Amino acid sequence: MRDVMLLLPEIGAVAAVLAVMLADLWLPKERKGTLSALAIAASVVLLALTFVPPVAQGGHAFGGSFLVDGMALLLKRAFCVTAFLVFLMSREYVAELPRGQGEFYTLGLAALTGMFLCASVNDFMSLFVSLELVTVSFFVLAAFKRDSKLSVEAGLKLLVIGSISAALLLYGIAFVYGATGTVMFGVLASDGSTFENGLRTQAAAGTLVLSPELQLGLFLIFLGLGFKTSAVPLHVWVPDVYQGAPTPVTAYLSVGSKLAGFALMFRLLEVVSRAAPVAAALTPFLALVAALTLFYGNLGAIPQTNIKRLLGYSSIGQCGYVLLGIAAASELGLAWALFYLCAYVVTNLTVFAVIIWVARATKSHDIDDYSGLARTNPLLGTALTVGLLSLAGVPPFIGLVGKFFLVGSAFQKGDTLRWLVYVGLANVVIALYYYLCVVKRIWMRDARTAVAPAVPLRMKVALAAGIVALIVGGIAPQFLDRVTASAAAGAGIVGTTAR
Amino acid sequence: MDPLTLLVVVPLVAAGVVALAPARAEKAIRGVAIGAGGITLGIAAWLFRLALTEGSAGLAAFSAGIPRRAWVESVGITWSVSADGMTVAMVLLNALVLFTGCLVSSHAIRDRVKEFFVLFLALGAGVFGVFVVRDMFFMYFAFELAVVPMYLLIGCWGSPKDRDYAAMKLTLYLTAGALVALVGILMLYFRTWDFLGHPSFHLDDVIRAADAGRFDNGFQLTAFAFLFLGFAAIIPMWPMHTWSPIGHAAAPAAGSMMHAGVLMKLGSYAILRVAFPTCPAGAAHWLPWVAVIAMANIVYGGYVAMAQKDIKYVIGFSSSSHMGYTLLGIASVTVMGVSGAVFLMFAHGVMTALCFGLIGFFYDQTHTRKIEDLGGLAHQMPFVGTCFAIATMASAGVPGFANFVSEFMVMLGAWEAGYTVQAVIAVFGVVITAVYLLRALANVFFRARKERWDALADARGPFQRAPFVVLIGVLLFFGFWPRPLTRVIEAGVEPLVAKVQAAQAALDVGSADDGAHRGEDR
Repeated sequence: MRDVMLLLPEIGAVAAVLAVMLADLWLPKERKGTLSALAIAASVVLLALTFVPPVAQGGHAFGGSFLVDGMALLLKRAFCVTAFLVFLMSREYVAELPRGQGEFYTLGLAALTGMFLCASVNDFMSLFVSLELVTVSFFVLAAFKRDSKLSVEAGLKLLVIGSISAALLLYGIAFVYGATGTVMFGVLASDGSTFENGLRTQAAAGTLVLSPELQLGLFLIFLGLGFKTSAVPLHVWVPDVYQGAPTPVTAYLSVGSKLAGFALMFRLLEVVSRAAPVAAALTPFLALVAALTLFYGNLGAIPQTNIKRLLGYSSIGQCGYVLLGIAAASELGLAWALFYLCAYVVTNLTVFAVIIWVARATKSHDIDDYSGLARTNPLLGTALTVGLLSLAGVPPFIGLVGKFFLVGSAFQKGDTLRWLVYVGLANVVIALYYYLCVVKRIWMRDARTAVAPAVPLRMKVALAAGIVALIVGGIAPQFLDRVTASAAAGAGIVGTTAR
Repeated sequence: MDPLTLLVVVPLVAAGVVALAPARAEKAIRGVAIGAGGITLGIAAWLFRLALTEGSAGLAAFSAGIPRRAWVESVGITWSVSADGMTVAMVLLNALVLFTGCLVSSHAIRDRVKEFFVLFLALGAGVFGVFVVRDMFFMYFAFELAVVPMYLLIGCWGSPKDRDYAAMKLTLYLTAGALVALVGILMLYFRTWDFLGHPSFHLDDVIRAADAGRFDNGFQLTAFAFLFLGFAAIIPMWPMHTWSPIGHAAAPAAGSMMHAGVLMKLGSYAILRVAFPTCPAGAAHWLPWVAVIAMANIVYGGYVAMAQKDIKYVIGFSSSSHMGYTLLGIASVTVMGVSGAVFLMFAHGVMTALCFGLIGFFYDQTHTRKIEDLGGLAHQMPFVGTCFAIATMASAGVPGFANFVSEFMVMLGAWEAGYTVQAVIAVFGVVITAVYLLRALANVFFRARKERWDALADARGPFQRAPFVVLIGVLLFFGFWPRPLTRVIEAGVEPLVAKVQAAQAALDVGSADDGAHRGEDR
C-alpha cells in the first residue's frame, strides 16, 4: 500500500488524462473551453499531490525500481509548473484549433505522466518506458496542425530522430546489462560492486579498468538521452521541430521534454559517480558533447530570422550549459544544473508566452515583426526582453547566477576541464549577440504593422509575475538555491572535490 | 540599512518606482530620478565628510560596523559593503555624474522618458555596486548590471547614425572583458575555498588566503594577467580601446557622461581593488609592461584625437589618452603615482561629464557634431561656450583644475618609480592634448558668427545651468585645494601599494639571487 501511495502524483496524472478524455466525449462543442480549465486545475492538483506526506517523505517502491527523493520531488514540481504555465498560455490558441482540443490536453497530460515517471525511475527498463511515453505524446503534439506542412514535417522529424535515439538507448542498455547482469540503478550504484562485473581488474597493477562493453553501453545511453535534452549529435531535429510545431507545443517541448531528459541524466550521473573509473571515462566524452552543443547552438542561432528557430538553437545552447555541470559531475555541478533548469522553466515559458500572443496579432514568427514591440505593447516587449536577457545570463536576471556557477563547476574540476570553461565563457558573448539582436528590434526599430498585440488580464498577470520572478530570482537566488542544493545533496554525487 | 547599501538601493528603488509609474507622468518621473540622484549625492557628501573628519581609521571603523549579510550560503556569496579612501572618491564621482546626468536628461530626453530613467538609474546602481561591495560575485554582478543598460541607452536614445554598431560593440567588448576577469575571479575563489574549507567570495577572505601564502607566484602571474586584461578592456587600455570613442560618440548626453565619467573607471578601480591585494607578485611582474602600453594610450590616443572631425570623437579619444595617465600612475606602484591615478579618475570623470553634457546640449539643437559645420557658437551660446572653454582648459591640464594636480602627481609618481622616459613622454602628451583640445574649442565656439546657428538657444535658468556650474565648481575646488581629497585617497591606496612594493622587493631579491648564483657559476 505504501508503494502505491508513493505513486500518488503519477496515479493522479493518469486520472487526469482519463478525466479530460471522458469530458471531451461528453462536452458539447461550444463548451470545450472547460477542457482547458480542467487541465489547468489538474496541474495545480498534481502539484499539491507532491506535497502530500507519504509522497513528500519519499522512499523506494516496487523492489527499488521506483524512487522518490528530493531531486525527484523537485523535478515533479517543476513539471507541474511547466504544464500549468503551458496550459495557461495556450487556452485561446487551442480553442481556435479546428479539431482535437480534447486530444491536445489529453496528450499534454500524458506527457506530464511520462515526465513524472522519468523523475522517479530507478532501473533501465522503466527508464525506457517512461521516456517513450513522453516522446510518443510529443510525436503527435508536434504534428497537431494536420493541414500545415511544417507541423507534419516536425512530427515526422521528431519521430525519425526519436526512433534512432530510442534504438541507441536500447542498444546501450543491452550492453550495460550484458556487462553487469542487472538493469537496476540501485544495485549498480551500491559502491560499484556490481560494476565489478564490468570492471576488469588488471591483475598486475591491481587497478580497475572499465570494460569496453560497459563503457560503450553508457556512451550510447547518454547519446540517446541527448535526444531529449537536445545535445549534439542528436540535436538535429530541434530547429525544424521548434519552428513547425504549434507554439504551445514548442514551449512544452523546449522545457518539459528537455527537463525529463536531464532528470534521467542526473539519475545516471549519480549512479556512475559511485564508481570512479566509470565517471572518469565519461567526463571527457560529456565535456566534448557539452562544447560541441554550446558552439552548435549559439553559432547556429546567429543567422536565424524566425524567432522559433532562433529559440530552437538557443535551447541547444542552453542545454550545453547544463551539460557543463553534468560533465563536472560534482555536487556543485548538479545543484546548479538543477537551479539552472528550474530558472529555465520560468524564463523560457515567459519568452514563449510572448511569442504566442504576438503571433496571434501579427500571424508571423519573423523576428523583424517584433520591431517596435516595446512601443506597441510595453508589457510584451519588456517580458520578452527580460526573458531573452535572462537566457543570455545578464544581471539582474536569474540566468546569470545559474550560468556563473555551472561554469564555476567546470572550473572546479581543475586543469582537465579548463578548456571547457573558456568554451563556456566564449559562448556567453556569442549568445549575448543574438539575443541582443532581438532586443534591438524590440526597442530600437519602428513597428512594421499597426496591429498592436493585445493580451487578456490573465496573461498580463502571468507575464508580470514572470518578470518579477526572473528579477527577484536573480537578485536573491538563495531561496531557489536552498531547494536545489538540498535536492542535489540528497542525490549524493560522490567525489565532489576531485581536484 | 547602512548608507553604503543605500547607495545601491536608492537608485534601484527609484528605478522600480519609475517603472511602475504611468508613462505620461513625465514630470513626476523626472522628479523621482533627480531626487534619487540627489539622495545619493547627499550620502556621498556625508561619506566624504566622514573621511575628512575621521580619516581612514574612521572609515575603517565605519566599515567594520556594517555586518556581513549571508546571501547564498551554499557558495559563499555575502552582501558586504565597505568604504576606504578610494571608494569615497569614486562614490562621490558617481553621485555627481548621476545627479547632473539626471538634470541634463530632464530637458534633453523627450522620447520614452520613463524607459530612459529606469535604465539610467539601474546603470547608476550598478556602478555604485562595483564601488562599494567587498564580495567578488556581487562585484561581477554589479559590473554587468552597469554594462547592459548602456546597450539600450545608446541604442534607443543615441545618435541614429552609428548607434546600432556602437551599442553592440560596447556591450560585447565589456562583457567579454568581464568574462576574462571572471576567470581570474574563479581562480581566486577556488583557491580560497581550498584554504578556508568553505566557499567564500569575500575579498577579505581571499586576501587572507593570499597573505597566508596560498597563492604561489605562478598562480599570481596567471590570475593577475586574467584580472588585469579583463578589466583593462574597460579602462580602456590600448589596443582594446576601440569600443570606447565610438560608444561615447553614439550615446545620448547623459549616457556619454556616465560612460566616460564613471563606467571607464570601473576597470582601473577593480584592478586596484581586486588584483592588487590578492596578486601582488603578479602585479609586480606585469606592471612594468603596463607602463609601456600606457604610452601607447597617451601618444597614440592623442594623435588619433587630433585627426578627428567629430567633436565627440575628439573627446572620446582624449579620454582613452587620459586613461594612459591612469595606467601609468597604477603601474608606478608608488603612493604618489597610484593616488594620482585615482585622483585623475575622479577629475577626469568630472571634466569629461562636463564636456559631454555641454556637447549634448548644443548637439540636441544643431544635430551635427562635425567640427567644420559648427563654428562661432559662442556668439549664440556664451554660457555654454564659456563652460566648454573651462572644460578644455581643465582637460589640457591648466593649473587651477583638479586635472592638473592629478596628472602632475602621476608624473611625479612615475619619476619616483624610475619610469623617467615615460614621465617625459607623459609631459609631452599634455602638449598633444592642448593642441587638439584648443583647436576643437576654437573651431567650434570661436571664429566668425555663422548665421545658420542663430536660432540656437543658450542654457537658460538655474535648472539648465546647474549641472555645468556644479561640475565646474568641483573641478576648481579640488584644483585649488586638492589636499582633502588626496589625503583621503592616499590613505586608501597606501596599504595596496605597500603590498605590491613588498612583492616587488621580493622579486628583486629573487632575481638578484639568481644573478648572484649565475655569477658564482661563472
